[in-house]
Amino acid sequence: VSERSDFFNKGANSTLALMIYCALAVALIVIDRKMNYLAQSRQAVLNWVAPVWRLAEVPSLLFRAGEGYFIDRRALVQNYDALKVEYLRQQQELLALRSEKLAANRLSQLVQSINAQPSIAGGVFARVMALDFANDRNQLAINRGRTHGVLPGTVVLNELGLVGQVFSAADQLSTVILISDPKHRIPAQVRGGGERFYVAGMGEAQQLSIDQLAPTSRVALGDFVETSGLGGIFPEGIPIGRIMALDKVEGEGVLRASVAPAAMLTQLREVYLIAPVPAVGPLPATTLSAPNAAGGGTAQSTGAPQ
Amino acid sequence: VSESSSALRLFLAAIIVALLFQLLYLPQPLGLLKPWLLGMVVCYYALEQPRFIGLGRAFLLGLIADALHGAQFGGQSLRLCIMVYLLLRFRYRIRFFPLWQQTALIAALFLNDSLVALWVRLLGNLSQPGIAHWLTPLTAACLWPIFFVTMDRLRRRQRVSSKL
Repeated sequence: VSERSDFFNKGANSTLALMIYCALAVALIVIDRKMNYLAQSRQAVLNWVAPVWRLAEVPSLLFRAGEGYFIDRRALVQNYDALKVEYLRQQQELLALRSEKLAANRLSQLVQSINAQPSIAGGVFARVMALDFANDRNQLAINRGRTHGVLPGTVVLNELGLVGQVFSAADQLSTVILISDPKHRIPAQVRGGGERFYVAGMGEAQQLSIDQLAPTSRVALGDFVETSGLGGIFPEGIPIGRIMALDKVEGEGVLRASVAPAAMLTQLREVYLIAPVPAVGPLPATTLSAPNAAGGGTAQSTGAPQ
Repeated sequence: VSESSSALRLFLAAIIVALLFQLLYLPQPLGLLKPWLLGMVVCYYALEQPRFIGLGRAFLLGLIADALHGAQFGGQSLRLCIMVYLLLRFRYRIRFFPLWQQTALIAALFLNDSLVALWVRLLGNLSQPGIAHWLTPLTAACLWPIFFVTMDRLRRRQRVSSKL
């Protein structure tokens, strides 16, 4: 033990020494703060001390390196999963947008091709509020009514084809009778103006029927059926569906065809409304009158020979 | 001579480890519980081998620690001086306490020390300390029994090896 430390330890137990040291320490602190004289000497000290800092840093550096590796890995995996989910979600959104755009394009083409007038000024689309396929009734309710210009007989379609027509219109909503309703008959033709016939509903959303085709008919499987425009109400050229089956009706000498509706009737979300066309054609006007005249059952049989 | 020199070596080693430990960066949850090892070493030697530690050495050690830490000069000097004074004053009583009482006393001492440290910070115009500041007495008390026993063993081993 050197002399110097003896000097430092001399007054170990004395309160006076404590007070002196305390005063010294406080003086140092205050000088350090106020005068900043020690800043330079501290800089020098820090330069000397730097290697010691480095040494003390080594374990924590190692630790941090290891920790960083594991944390980064975990975070990366999480990040990757989140991005994947996000990517799938956006992909889905993109697909939906694309199909919506496609639908809109097709609808506008369709509407242009049939040269139809929108039935609602400012808003030609209606949202489907309810679909009803119960009890032989194939109807749907839409959120447009007389205040929007919807009247009984307004033609309802979507980008794929004909949906039906408005059956009764309230102020804010209307009910639409679908082409698949058993009471509904549409004057139709093979696409491009071939043979003419009636397409009737059967109460099934997936199937319409053509009851009376002449046995000599040239209608073939896969032919497209569209509205003929005869008898008013429906403009010519709205797709109805496609011939899926042809059967001979026993004992009657006629053919019966079944038609798959083009518009996906069970999946309707939004429909387009166009004004009915006035009746022009060879059939007498009385039987072509608007469906609201009869109100109930056979309103939609636009001039069909029952 | 060899016994005292080996004891001095242990003392110096303990001081160096404590100084390095103070510089050690610990990741956050552990960093909150980082004890003031220098204070504990000084406490141990003030209790067990007071010939190594006095007010003057406590003062010097404080200065070295402050220099290493880049803290305001004099802060740890003041804290160590007060600690050492209290321990040396009541050393004979404290040495006969059982370990758990000693531990409680150390906790009180370190609590006092954190008050002093707070005062030092105010004096040095530093910001208010965080929660870690007030956890120091707790960690010191928790570690004290282990620390005390370990140091005793190290000293005894040194004594034995130096006698061989």
